Amino acid sequence: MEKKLDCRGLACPHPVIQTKKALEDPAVAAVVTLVDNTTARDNVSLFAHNAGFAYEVAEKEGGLWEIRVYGKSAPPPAGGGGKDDHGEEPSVALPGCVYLVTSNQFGQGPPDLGGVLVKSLFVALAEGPPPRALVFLNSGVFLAAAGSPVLPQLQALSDRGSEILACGTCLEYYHLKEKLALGRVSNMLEIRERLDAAGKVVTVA
Amino acid sequence: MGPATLAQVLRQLPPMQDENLLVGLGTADDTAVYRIGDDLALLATVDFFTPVVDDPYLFGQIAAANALSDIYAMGGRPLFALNIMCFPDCLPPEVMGDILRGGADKVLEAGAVIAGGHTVSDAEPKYGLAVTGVAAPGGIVTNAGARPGDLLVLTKPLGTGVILTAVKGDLAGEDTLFQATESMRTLNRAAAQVMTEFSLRAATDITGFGLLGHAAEMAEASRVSLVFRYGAVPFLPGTLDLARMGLVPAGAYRNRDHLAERVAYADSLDRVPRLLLHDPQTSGGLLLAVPPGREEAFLARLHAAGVPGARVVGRVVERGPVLITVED
Repeated sequence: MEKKLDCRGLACPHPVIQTKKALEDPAVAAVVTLVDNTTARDNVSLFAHNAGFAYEVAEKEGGLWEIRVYGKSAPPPAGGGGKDDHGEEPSVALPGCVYLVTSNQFGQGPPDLGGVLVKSLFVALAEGPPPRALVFLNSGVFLAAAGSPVLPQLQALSDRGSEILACGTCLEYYHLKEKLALGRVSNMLEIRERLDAAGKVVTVA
Repeated sequence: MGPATLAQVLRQLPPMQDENLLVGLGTADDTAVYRIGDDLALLATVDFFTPVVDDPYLFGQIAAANALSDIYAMGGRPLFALNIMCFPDCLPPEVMGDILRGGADKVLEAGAVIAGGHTVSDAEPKYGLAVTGVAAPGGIVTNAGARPGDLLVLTKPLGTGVILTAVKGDLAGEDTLFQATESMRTLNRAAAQVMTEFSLRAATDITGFGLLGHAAEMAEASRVSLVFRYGAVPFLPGTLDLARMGLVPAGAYRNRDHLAERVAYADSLDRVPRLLLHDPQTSGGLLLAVPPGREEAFLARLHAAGVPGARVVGRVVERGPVLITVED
């Protein structure tokens, strides 16, 4: 969801504090902060830039600016990194990490070992910062379907803001379309966009 | 008030002519200097502001150290001060008492006395002092005496503007605030005494216009250009992190924009370091021009005199097309 903040009339540092606080809610995909002075505009931009959030600045009529700051779990704006329109250097690309899970086993070897390893990987993932997105394809889709050994971990990651996408073609192939337990069905176009926009892609194969 | 607006307003005043007015509005210096005899000049300055810290006693100390600083920056000796106090009816009078006590203790530490004052009922507290001092006319240290080759020494770290902005949002750590408060309530007296010992010719104190703003006034008045090295400029601990969080006061942006045409920065310096050099300071240090070859002795003497934060931060060069250059 997108959260709007009206910070008109607020003195520095309050627009920054309100923006920062709003972004701490993992359910918030983007915060749109409305400000009426250049100090607030530049300070919210500085905060987003240096905290690694993608952001955009848009000038509105009547001496107002809207800074749209994308939460780390949210898909980034078109074109990746943040940009602003007042001549400052653009922000770096969103450093969010995307996990591309192409198998329901981790590594080449006996299937029982691969299954144990994939379970430990998700336990470890659930304990750290949530990746921006987890994309499941090929036999990886089993991990997002009913009966998956890692559903509790996946649920925890989803709750903390990770986007979960499963390849529709793969679900159909394995007759799992009705059994997708978490996240949503996606297509290769969207998956490609996520991979292009990611700060880092980790492939689990 | 920002430097651009202030200059605009002051331009509308009628010109002041008096042969005994040695330093007036013309050169944007720290105090007025008025000759009252062949060997004596009066220095006068006034400064007051809204509370920068919660503790009223500390606020009083900081406001007094800040007001006295202008006298020190001119090479003068403070004689007496008048309190200026704006205070709301709704606050307990003890708070006002604590502010005044903080100011009085600082004035006594400076070897001067409080001779009176004036209070006004106001919605928000404000406190400061009008300070009168003396100097020998030949011993006045203005901002017009910097010469090419001189080294620039800054006596206190920067960062109070950013830190006080963070304090308003409750985002400054206790240690950060403590260090900033200690710096702000420290008199520039020891630094000024060493400056007089070394017979320096140019100084200014760093306050609302930030390091580069006050440096620009010095460069203009001295008809020179200045080169700063960002890496050599001391900052209070925590300043950089807080600025990166977007806790930069409006004054820093105003100061930066005012000098946009006159400062050239190294390409490697990004937005935050550039802004920090314009951070408005409360009760900041002195910026001094030291003749070449004497900077080491001067720094050693400053450190021994209890000014541990003093550093060489730049140098004076012949007037070029750029007023101020900032190297990485």
